Amino acid sequence: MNAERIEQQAAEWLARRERADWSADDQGALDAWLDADTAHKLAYWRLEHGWAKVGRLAALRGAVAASRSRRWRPAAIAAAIGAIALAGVVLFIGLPRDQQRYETPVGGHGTMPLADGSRVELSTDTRVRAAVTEARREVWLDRGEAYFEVQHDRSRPFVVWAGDRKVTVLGTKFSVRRDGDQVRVAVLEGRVQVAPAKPADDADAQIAVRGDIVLAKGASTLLSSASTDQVARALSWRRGMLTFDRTTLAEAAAEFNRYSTTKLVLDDEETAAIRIGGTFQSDNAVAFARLLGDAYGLHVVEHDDEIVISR
Amino acid sequence: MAERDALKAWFLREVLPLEPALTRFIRRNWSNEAEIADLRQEVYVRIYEAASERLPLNPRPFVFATARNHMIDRARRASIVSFDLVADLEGLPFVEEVVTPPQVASAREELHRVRAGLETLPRRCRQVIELRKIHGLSQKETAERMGVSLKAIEDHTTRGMRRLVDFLLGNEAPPTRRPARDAAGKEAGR
Repeated sequence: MNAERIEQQAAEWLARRERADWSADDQGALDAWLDADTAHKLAYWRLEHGWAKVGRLAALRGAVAASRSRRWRPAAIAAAIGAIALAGVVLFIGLPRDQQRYETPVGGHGTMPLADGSRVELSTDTRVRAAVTEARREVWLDRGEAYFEVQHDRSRPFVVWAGDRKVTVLGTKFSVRRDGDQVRVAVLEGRVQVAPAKPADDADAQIAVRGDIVLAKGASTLLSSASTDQVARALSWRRGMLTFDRTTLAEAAAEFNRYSTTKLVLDDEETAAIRIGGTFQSDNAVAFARLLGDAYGLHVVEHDDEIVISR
Repeated sequence: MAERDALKAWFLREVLPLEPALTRFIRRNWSNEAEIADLRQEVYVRIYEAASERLPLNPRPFVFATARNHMIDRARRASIVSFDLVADLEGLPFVEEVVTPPQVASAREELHRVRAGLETLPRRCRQVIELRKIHGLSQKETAERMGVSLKAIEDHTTRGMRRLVDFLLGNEAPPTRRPARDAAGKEAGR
């Protein structure tokens, strides 16, 4: 028996399993290898267990660093992500002279620097327009979700228009997300004001501070003093991750589906109601589905454009 | 299949966290460093097979007793090993006394270990792991970004994975394993 060789083989299987084109045949070959020897199984499980933790901890690392004031690493990481993903951002010209427009495709992620030094980070399937002049700083979130790091400038408030809401700040870090007619604002630092876009509307203006999440829909505005943890979770897409905490599968699948053209489909209500937790790569719904298969014994069938999960 | 899942869960929960202590225990009682990994794996197999007959009520003493018995068996089978070794092993104090209390690593400690592990990886290997696990790029995207083949990405992933899992489990990897690529080919003595 050669532990070194078996461990190497186990590691190769695990690495190969993360391939996009992992097939039922591959799975069959892996199962055969696992069944061939108890030592294979044990070496594989050991690495699988540790490797899953490496993934989780790396996610934690970003969150921990970002919530403290150690700015360099996350900044460098964010810059790297920006550089990588900028390819996915389409810049349109031919708009009014002082307007910039950016958008990301499904699964895209990119950063747009503004003329005042502020920056906007775009999540999946997002379109943003920005107008920064001497007199004003305005951004329109036409769809999707974006994270803002706003340079402090008392003379020029920074306004984000999202659906029927208007979010006003001086200098701070926060994200805004649109889901249909719902607007969600999560504040990482500083203070923001969320108000109706039309002052005539009934809903009152709300002031949200660090750790707060505002949910606005129609005439109602719900402010929850969540926690910096929950805000960090709401922002985990910036690291390419989705974080769930006692989230129903229905909600989790909807989240994944925002990031991918291959959709997760839940076949029955019982499955949809299962609650899960954890941190997952937003671009890897397939891995998430397989994990459900492994962890909950759910039935997972992969098609070209959808993955059906059932009891 | 359900039985196997239950055994797997038991193994990951009860046995794997003991790995650092188990490795130290074997290393302290076995002179040939090159055989430590093999011994540990053989011990795991024995534990698993015994557990599939009947789950031990008290996994800790069971794990160390199995390791002790296995070392004695191995030493007896190997004709060149001196009888002193066998005698030493048989004279080991009650295993619980030689073993430090179990340490369930907190998330923070685990994080620390993974970071420490990352520091020791070769530069390219580390870059691959960071792009994959921190920035969440797929293998394909990582390959494109680094301008290397998918195969190269998998090789780096494989190497990094083995090393990080070692660190995560708190194994003090002996210095001879440091240059990851040469380790296999070289004599394990320092």
